[in-house]
Amino acid sequence: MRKNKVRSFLGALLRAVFCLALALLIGLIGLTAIAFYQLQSGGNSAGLADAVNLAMEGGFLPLCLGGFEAGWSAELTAAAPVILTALAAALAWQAGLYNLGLAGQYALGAAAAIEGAAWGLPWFACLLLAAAAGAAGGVIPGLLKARFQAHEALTTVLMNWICLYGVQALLQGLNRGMGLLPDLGILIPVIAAGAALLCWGLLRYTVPGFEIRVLGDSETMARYAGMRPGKIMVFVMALSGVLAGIGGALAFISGELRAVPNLNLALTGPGLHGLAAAVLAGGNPLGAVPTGLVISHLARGAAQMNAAVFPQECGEWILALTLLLGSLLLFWGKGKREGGMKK
Amino acid sequence: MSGYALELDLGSAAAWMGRAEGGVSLRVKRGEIHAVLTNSADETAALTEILTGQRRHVQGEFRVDGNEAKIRSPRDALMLGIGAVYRQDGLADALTLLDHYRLAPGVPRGKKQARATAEAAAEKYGLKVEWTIPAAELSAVERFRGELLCALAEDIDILILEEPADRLPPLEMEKLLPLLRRFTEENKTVLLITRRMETAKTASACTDLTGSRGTDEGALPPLEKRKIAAGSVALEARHLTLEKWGREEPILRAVSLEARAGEVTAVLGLPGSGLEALAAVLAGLEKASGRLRLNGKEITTMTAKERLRAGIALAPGPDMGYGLAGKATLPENMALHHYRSAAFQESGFLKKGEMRAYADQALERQGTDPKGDASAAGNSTRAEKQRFVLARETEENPEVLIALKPTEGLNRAEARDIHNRLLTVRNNRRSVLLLTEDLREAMTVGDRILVLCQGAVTGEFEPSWTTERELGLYMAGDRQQGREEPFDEEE
Repeated sequence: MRKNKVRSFLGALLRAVFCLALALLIGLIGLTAIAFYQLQSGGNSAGLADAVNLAMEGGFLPLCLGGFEAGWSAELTAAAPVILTALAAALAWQAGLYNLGLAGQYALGAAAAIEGAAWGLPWFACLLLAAAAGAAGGVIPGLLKARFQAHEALTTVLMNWICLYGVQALLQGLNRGMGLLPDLGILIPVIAAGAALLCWGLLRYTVPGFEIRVLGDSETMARYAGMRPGKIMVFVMALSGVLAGIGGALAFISGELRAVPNLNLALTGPGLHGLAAAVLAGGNPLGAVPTGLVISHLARGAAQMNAAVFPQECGEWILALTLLLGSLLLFWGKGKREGGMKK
Repeated sequence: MSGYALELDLGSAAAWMGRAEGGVSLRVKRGEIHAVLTNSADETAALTEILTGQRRHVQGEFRVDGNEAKIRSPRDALMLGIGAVYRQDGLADALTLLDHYRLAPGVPRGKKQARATAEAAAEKYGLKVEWTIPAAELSAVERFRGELLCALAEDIDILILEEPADRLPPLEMEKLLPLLRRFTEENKTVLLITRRMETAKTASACTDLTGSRGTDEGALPPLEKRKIAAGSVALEARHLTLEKWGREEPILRAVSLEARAGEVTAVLGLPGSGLEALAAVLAGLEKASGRLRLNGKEITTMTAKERLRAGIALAPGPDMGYGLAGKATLPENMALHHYRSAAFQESGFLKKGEMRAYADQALERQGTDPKGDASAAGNSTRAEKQRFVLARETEENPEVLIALKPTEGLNRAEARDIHNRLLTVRNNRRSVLLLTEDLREAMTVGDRILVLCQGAVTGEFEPSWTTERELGLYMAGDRQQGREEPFDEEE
């Protein structure tokens, strides 16, 4: 039994490392190609070696190492929102649900926290508001699924747009100031890590967690056990939204990150990163912590790339690749199942 | 030219599921109907997958007509002239047989020409099929015939049949044989991959892969079927009708049955006849119209949980997919029906220790070896999983135990063990409702047999007064009690 557990852990670790390495490798090749093209179009006849050089110095190395520059506290703080969105995705996945509305729920949470701050509320009240807002963003697709079997992958993605545009309109219209709250500092990564532990504990040791896991196995199984799949789905989506919402709040009320939650950023930001981290972690809440750290580190590194040659999208592209490869590997072995009744 | 149509040498144990001893060696001559005898449905499936290119990392040697070949994908298999009809139905419900037929490369493009070719093929092999009806409305036998014709359309040299007896009643199996012989007369080869001795006996040559674990009756423990007088009616169902959105034909048609205490009432049907639906309806997982009474008490409106408490338990078989939660641990699975009770949870937190203790006790009481570890329940063999499911359900001491295809994919020894467990329930004067596709099982274990065909009960029999052949006729819908229909040879 022990051996089995160790083996599956190592397997998961290997898979995550492999995905990352492969994505980075392909990324490097891509960066080289871009560098080559840039050099060529600049007029000088540059060789492959120059391109590789440029790609390494201006792109790859900053990508991988750039995050370290600002120090550990910055790393951890920036990782927190990613970890939280990863937890959101992982929790939903455990129930068999695909919550792709992380960006929207994240934005809702951020907006709620900022509003709260503008009203002079203390930080934990802002977080609670954010949680509620995120929950709302998750509950609606959850209800649609429970009542109408509307597939959450579709509804959450569309909710993203509703949330993002709504938040954008609200915040720009009202022109709120940023950083109205004290720098919570070390508390931020602690909250993220705490959330991860809570998720893990929930799944493993509580009744709702058990129901979530059984539902994730098969809906028929859940009904056979006397559970109400609809209720569980709504609960999970709400909780997922809460996590993403808090993630959004933490990103904007800390002293570290200061940016208007514009559409662009929110879409390509933690929405995607959280998903990538969750997939790399195989849906395991505890695993979301290290993978969240790594992904956020890479994201920050992407901002450090030589902007003249490599726009920020390049970094995001590599992270998206990680998500793609991670998903592929995650579903690799699951192809053949025992035949029989549809689950 | 070595004279062999097919040679297979699998050295690695990993390539051959679950076998610790050595590899597999297969030599099939051209023009043979060659049977390969395995231990279980899993082994049958594994071998079929290897031969049809659905498994990639197979270490071993493969030769077709003496030439070394590699089968890495279904396409490779097709190129080599290997075609198959599988144990599980492979047709798309919304498409017609003609649509499927036109997928084969050799078939002409135009619809009319394709139809002509199809009908010519059917004529040639003496099979009657409906080409232009959606597959969902065809009977299990027609679907098998359709798949067979589609496989033959692919211009193959080697036809693999995976466990055809799981899909066809005995009469159809008998009719299949001359067709296979005709096929081999064209110097082609048939491979019958099966775990059943009687199917293997119809072949002209056989490779025994059972590893001399003994599949003959002598080695099996006896069936614990004591003589018991049937008691009162435990479960009574009247006119259960189930219609599903989008399907023209109802899945269950006014099904009425009675299950008595101290009896095993077997409900026998072909795949697709509605057994799973019947189980779901009786257990409360699906709502159907009709009435249901347990020991005289009306339970039609009860939920699944209420029915369990009232005394109806459902034990889904290994292939059903909802007996055990694969990702949850074994103790969690064993406590599945009671996880909300105060015994196993406190203010929302699961009492893992108590669950473990309960699981161990329950399993020991039922004479099953508790696995003793907390790993995912999915990591057990089919037979083990079925024993766990049965243990969990019998712990509830139900008045009526519904067993849905409990021995699907199990070998004879494992099946015998499961049968004895079911019979223990019966011997304790409870009622067992055995829903199965296995004729033999219904006849040996059942005290009464009801035949279900396309959602309707077509006959009721006493096992000692009927034959496999007769049951097969009723299963295929060629005969129906209460209606004198002439038996049509051509059907």
